[in-house]
Amino acid sequence: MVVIQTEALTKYYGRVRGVEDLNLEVEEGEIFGYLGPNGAGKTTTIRLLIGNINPTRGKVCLLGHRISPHSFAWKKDIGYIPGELSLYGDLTGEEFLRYFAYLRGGVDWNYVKSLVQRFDLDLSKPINTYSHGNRQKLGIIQALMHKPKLLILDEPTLGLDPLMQQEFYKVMEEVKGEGRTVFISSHILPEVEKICDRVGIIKDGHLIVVENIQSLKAKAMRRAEVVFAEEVNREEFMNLPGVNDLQIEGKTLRCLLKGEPNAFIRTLARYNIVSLRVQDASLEEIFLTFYS
Amino acid sequence: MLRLIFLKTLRDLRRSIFWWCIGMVLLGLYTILAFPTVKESFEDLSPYLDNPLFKVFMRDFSTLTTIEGYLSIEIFSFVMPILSIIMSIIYFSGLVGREEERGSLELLLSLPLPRWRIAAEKVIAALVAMLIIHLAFWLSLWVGGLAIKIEADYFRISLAVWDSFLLGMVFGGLAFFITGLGYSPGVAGGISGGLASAFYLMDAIGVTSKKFEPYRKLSLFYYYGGGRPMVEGINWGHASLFIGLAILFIIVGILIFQRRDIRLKG
Repeated sequence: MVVIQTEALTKYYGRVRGVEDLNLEVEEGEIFGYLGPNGAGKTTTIRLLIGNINPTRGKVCLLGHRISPHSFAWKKDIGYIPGELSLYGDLTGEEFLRYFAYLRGGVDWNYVKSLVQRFDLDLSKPINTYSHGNRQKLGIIQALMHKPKLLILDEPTLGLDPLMQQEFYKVMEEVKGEGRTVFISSHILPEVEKICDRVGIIKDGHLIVVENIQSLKAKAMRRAEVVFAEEVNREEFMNLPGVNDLQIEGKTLRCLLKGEPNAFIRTLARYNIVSLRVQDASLEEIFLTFYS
Repeated sequence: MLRLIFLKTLRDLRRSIFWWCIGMVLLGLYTILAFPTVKESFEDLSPYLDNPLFKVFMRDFSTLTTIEGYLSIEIFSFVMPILSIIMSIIYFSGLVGREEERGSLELLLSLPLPRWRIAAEKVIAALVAMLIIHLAFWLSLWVGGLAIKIEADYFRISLAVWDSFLLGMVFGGLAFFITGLGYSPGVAGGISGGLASAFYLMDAIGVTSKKFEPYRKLSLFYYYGGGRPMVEGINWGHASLFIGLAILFIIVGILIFQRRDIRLKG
């Protein structure tokens, strides 16, 4: 089942481009990472999904419902953390969660307590005394507390310490295990690499790639480093298909490999090799190649 | 226990309601307790009653030694409507606008509630706040009047308070409508307050100058009774105009808010 579907989704703020012709599908039960630098259109996309802004053209469907600012019934199945989380500072953590729980029509308070325990949050204090990280934890708990079918999270781990980040990743795995769906925007690429099944990369308001992380990495360049027993002839490697950024220093060869490495391996076989190391590119490196 | 946006909004306003009530009660008590003393001084002002500038504040009252005339001049001609307007603009411009400005509206609108309900509950809370403050003011006049044994028709005095409340609601509704369009509370307050000042001047100039008198009808202050409801009862035609305008501004504001883009924090 497709949980998020956008068709030619476009948003302009006057003459300023937000996003343009976004076609995106997110399947039920997957964790979808949404990447892009500042100003690329991530938050605009998320605010279009949640219905807080209107598209200039195109449409959004969440869980089979066509989204508009005046529709609301579908929101019972959505958990949301905005990029700039602003809570009610004069309420205590518990008052805030109970208030939102009532407005949501009731939640399982035992589940809320378990989340509070896992995220190690003191609910008795007023929110305006919370650190940034604790406010973020409260935001995460309010998004999860009604066990929504779809979580839309804009930079959810911003300000969390590494221990809490790990706890968050565990919760995300559990959410996925229950067949629920997560749409997550993040700047922390190792985090996306760790928890997401697929990623979409947005650049200048356009979705430039949507890919499974593993296949994205497989298609991407790999870094190779070979140490030979003797010096090698540079010219033999220079024009090999798929070999880029070739560097030979003494008996060590370094290069970037793209595509099938057969020709490179056959050429290597002519020499005595002391060591061979081929590294997959990290998501960060892949991300940077799209923006370089 | 906070179960409704209405209750949360009232809770947000509670300190403001408290201090407004304190201020209005002190104003009411001070005004009415001073009446016996001031009454004697009024006798000395009788030679100046024909001065047109005096009419701006006095309206149709020629008898300053009655409680109605006194309250009309001291309270209902200028102070009370201005306070009602300021109070209303502050409350109504902040309902959606303030929450949008600080960013909490972004999360609130992710809840499975229609936008109109969120706005309507907030409007009702502000309305209740305004009523509480106006009621406290009227009670202070009543209690003060009883304390110094002034014979007055306190029901009719309540009609003058009500008239002032309704005038305030029109400008509050306007401020709400402007924030409904997406403008900040500052802009909404500026426009509504500026318009109220312009209407007041238009009416005041019309009172003092025959040339400008026909233009008084363009001012909402023309339809505001001042102290007249204490003598003649409320003019329901004028009151209906205020109620109608306030409801119109609020409903149109909600309808626009229902569909418009929500601004990001800051």
